[in-house]
Amino acid sequence: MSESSLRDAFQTALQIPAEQITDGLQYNSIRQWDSVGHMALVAEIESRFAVVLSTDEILGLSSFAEAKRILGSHGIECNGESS
Amino acid sequence: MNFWNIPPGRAPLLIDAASGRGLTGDELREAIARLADLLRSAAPGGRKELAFLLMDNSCDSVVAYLALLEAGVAAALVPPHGAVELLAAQVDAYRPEWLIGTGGPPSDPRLADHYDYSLHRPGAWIGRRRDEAWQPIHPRVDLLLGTSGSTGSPQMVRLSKENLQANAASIAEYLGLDDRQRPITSLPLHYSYGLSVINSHLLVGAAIVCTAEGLMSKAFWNAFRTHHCTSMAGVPYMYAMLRRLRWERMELPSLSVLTQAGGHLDRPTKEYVLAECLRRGRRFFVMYGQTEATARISYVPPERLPDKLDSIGIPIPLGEMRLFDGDREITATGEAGEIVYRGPNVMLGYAERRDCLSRGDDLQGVLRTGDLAVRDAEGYFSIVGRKKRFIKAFGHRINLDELERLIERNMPVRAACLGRDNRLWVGYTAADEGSPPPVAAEMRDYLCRTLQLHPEAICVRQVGTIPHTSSGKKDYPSMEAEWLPPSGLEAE
Repeated sequence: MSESSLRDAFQTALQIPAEQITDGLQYNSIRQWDSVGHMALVAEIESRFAVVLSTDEILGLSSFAEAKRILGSHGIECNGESS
Repeated sequence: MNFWNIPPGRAPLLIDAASGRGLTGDELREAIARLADLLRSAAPGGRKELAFLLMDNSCDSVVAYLALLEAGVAAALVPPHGAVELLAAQVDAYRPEWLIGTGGPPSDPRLADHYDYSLHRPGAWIGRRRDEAWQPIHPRVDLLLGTSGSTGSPQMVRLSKENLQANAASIAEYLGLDDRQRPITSLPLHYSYGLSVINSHLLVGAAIVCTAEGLMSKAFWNAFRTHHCTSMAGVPYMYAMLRRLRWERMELPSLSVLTQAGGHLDRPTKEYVLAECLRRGRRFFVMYGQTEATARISYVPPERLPDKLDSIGIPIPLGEMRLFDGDREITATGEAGEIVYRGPNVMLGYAERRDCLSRGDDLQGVLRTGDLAVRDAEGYFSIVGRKKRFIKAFGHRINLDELERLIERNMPVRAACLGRDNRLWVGYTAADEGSPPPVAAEMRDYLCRTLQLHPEAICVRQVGTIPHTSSGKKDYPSMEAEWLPPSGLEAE
């Protein structure tokens, strides 16, 4: 699984352009990633990567970098840039 | 005792979730008194003034709100982080003597240039309007709340202190509140439902945990556990969030009461929340209301919720709900009619700009909600839809929305239909610039034929444009003002 797939998930769920999605992108830092956007994002990640996130993981998914780390802990590595 | 008269005491009443610091009854009284004195001393001749409070979920905002009530300054609660151009337009329409908020004062020249700012508490600012454009405010107009949230409509609901106090008392009664409760501010406080949580809990001396965090943040749940919160208020999407968060796995031992309002909660989510509440011994209140009724109109007693899942319940204490089809009251069960609510929490009326604030009680305690409902044999109401716009002209019942669609299908026009005094008003404009629209006589003939109506009942008018609101909906109030003769005058 590649980072670009996670990038796609962010783009789809939050409806933002790809260039906005960096490691530093944080929850509540842009209008689209508010609590409603967060729900859409969690749903998108869960279905795309076939994982079930715990309450703590959902609440802790506070940045793009953190999303990569959480998926990593589910055995899904998102380090490569390949598509 | 009114809820804004805080009794002395050493127990915390407002707790800031982030810092953990609280304001005791004594401290809160002092903070309110200090700001109220400042407000009063600036008003020449004790005249009634207006403040716009950019109401966030901080303790400072609650202090400012209570001080405004205490000082008798009419307070408009506006969203704190809305678009500055919308706020500037509202300030332009209402010309408040005061602008109050937290953080830093607005830097946008449309707001900065009209006010002189100072700090009234650390981190909380107050601005005094520079020009002298005072216009009178009715003694009973104490609070203004928006109805649309984000659309930036200047329309606000005019409420009195009596409205606020009465609704707080009703809510405290049916929720069974006492000073052991400890709610958390899960909703924005400029929203009538969020504000009603503050009012009803201050009334019983309960402490309130103030947070700006939402359900999707760890900080919210940390505050909830740290401060042993007992209740939470939510609108439908927040209950969808709880479900997504796998709320059933969260350990929240202090939580005992949940309330839901702000629209219809879908059946699966409602059943999920109910099952969870039954399992954990929590009470779940499903409720209905409108800002036009301060907040609350009806509630389902939690013990009845399992067999009243589609219901909005029974009227709150002090309130009365009846169903009407026009002037005819519906008493039979199962027959739909508009909910007409009567109670001490019904607003005085609407406002759209400053000069509306001199008006007193337009509604006299009776609110036509525009919501259609049925009643069951036990007196429980269920919403079946929004009232359609319709008129009755010479015995014909005409659905105005349907008629617009019909006209636009059959004539090369864009049309808007209004009704008043059993008469139909149709404004129209060409559907496309290239082809001229039919003349008025032709339109009228078409309508008479189609509706089988006497020409007397129909007024048509070719217009330049059909006005729309900022959210893209047809703006009927402005059409009424523009196209129709003033109420009570006979049409030409």
